[in-house]
Amino acid sequence: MPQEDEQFDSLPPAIVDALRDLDGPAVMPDPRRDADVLSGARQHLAETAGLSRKRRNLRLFFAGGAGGAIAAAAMIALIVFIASPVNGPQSEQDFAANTPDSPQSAAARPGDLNDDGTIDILDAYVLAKQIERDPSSLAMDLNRDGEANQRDIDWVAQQAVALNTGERG
Amino acid sequence: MKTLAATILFVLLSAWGLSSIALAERDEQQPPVQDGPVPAGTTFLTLDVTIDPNGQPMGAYQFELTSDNASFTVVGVEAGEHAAFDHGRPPYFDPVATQGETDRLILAEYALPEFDADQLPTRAVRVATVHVMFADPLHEHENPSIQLNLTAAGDADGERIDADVSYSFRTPERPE
Repeated sequence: MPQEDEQFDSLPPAIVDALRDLDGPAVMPDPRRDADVLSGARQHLAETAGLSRKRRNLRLFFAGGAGGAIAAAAMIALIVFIASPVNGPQSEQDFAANTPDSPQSAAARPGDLNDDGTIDILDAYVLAKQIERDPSSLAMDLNRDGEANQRDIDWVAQQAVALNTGERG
Repeated sequence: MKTLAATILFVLLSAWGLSSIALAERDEQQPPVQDGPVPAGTTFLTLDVTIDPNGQPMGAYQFELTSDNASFTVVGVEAGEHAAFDHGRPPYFDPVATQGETDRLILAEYALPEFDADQLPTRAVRVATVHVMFADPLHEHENPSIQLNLTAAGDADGERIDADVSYSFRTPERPE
């Protein structure tokens, strides 16, 4: 082995001797033993592969089911969000009713300025006249936004024409 | 692999089904579309509403329009002809009446406060024009039964006055 000798040229002689002592006589295994080992290995691999396929199928089943459930839940949440009615007041009256400081919640029929038991356009007209005479009067600030103005008149008038609470004549 | 495909199919079918339900519900909540082809049997009518304050100055009015034989949808409201009621916008009404069929509409307006009593109308005056759509087919030559009820009319001080309300159908103008 001239190539091996060239490789050992750079090594100390003690190491070269130790390396050469590692090479022992060639050992040939019994072919029948070899076949038994090979057969056993194949059987083991076959069983392992079958079990592994079952486990993989089981994992896919659960993963798929969980994924489907999550997707369905997300879809239901999205649909509930889309189908839910638009948030916020749908009318000025709803706004007034939902506002804690609104006149409607502060006192019964605050828009009934002429005190005839009914909120109608005459109340809005009286209010418009009073605001025209004295715009600085906060007594006419029915919606309590800090000033008496057109918004207060509109608030009364919209109550007068509201179909859900307007009184039938 | 089959399980994965089945899962994907299940999710897609679920999404399709639930989306259809959601869209159908949303369509029900939306107001009817006013433009586009008019369904057969739909009738559009224009009413001119007139109030006669019988010689007294009228500073405010409020009336209720109802129909006892057909529901309707309000498709437009115009202000009247007198300058005292010209706010640059239609009279007050509930927009709910424009979003679906109803059997009543309340209309109201007050005179601009800077108008004095002698500037307010004292005779019959057209106070509003209402455009309504009747979706139910009406019999030939039959008009829907419409009632007007004047619920409030006031003078220059907001005191109640007696007045009369009436309406007339406006004949559509035909191009020559």
